[in-house]
Amino acid sequence: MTQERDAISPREQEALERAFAAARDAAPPLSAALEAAILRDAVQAAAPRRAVGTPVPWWRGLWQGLGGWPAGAALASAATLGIALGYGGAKPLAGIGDVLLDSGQTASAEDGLEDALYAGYDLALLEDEG
Amino acid sequence: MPFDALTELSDDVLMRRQAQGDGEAARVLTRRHAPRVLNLAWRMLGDRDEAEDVTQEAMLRLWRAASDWQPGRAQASTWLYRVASNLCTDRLRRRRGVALDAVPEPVDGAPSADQRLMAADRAAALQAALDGLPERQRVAVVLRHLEGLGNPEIAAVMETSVEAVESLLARGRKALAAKLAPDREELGLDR
Repeated sequence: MTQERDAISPREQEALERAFAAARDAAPPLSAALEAAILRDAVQAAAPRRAVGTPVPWWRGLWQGLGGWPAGAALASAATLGIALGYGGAKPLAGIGDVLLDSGQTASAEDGLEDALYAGYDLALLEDEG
Repeated sequence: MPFDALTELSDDVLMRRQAQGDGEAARVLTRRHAPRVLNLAWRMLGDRDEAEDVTQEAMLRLWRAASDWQPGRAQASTWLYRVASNLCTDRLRRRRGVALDAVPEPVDGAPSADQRLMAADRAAALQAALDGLPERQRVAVVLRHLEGLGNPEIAAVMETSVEAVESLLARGRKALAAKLAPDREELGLDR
């Protein structure tokens, strides 16, 4: 119904076809500048996708956040020492204690502390006796 | 792969290569589709600079869609026509809020008639008539009569039914015929 109402005569149709043909021939060419701009956009649009295309795993980000290989090596050393102490008992530390006791430093310190604690009592006793 | 060999490849294959950063694939896609997008935009807007802006924007959206492009789901040409016609419609709607003297002159108003060939006069007269059509009629007429698309493809571009396209074309042709009628003799359209 709509097409019948909007129908045009054969003469009008021919005139339109001539105008369409002229317009088709007058289509603007793609300029070199526009083509270059479009291709620049293509390069820029593809570049970020290539970078994002290989995402860093979450565990790698965490590992790097904790300090990476240097921090890992230090942690491994500390863990190894802890395990050795756990299985070997106090033997390694006993040797260190012996060295300290043999040097007499511990006894001297205890003596000094005792003198300081009881010095006041000696003075008080002397005053009472006096 | 050399440029000539790439021209034989389908849009889907070229889109995948473009997503991988193949500059030659982008060049083939550009030369295959950008001129048609430019022609549509020029016919819709009647302004060469604006038509080039729309063409660049439509192609940029194609590049951005390349990584998610699903083969066989849509034709690049249909997709581009849809994007370009929407961009043109947006610009035409923005123009309505612009003062009349700020709108570019119609193409047929620039050079004097005696300096142009008859074919150029006809093309310019048609462009002026197209400029007076409602946007959707203009899209349908340009795609059908200047780009040579079939009605089903136009319906896909415009996201409407074939019947609606036929109606738009019938009304568009009638309006164009009426607009050209006063100048038909002068333009030699009756012979």
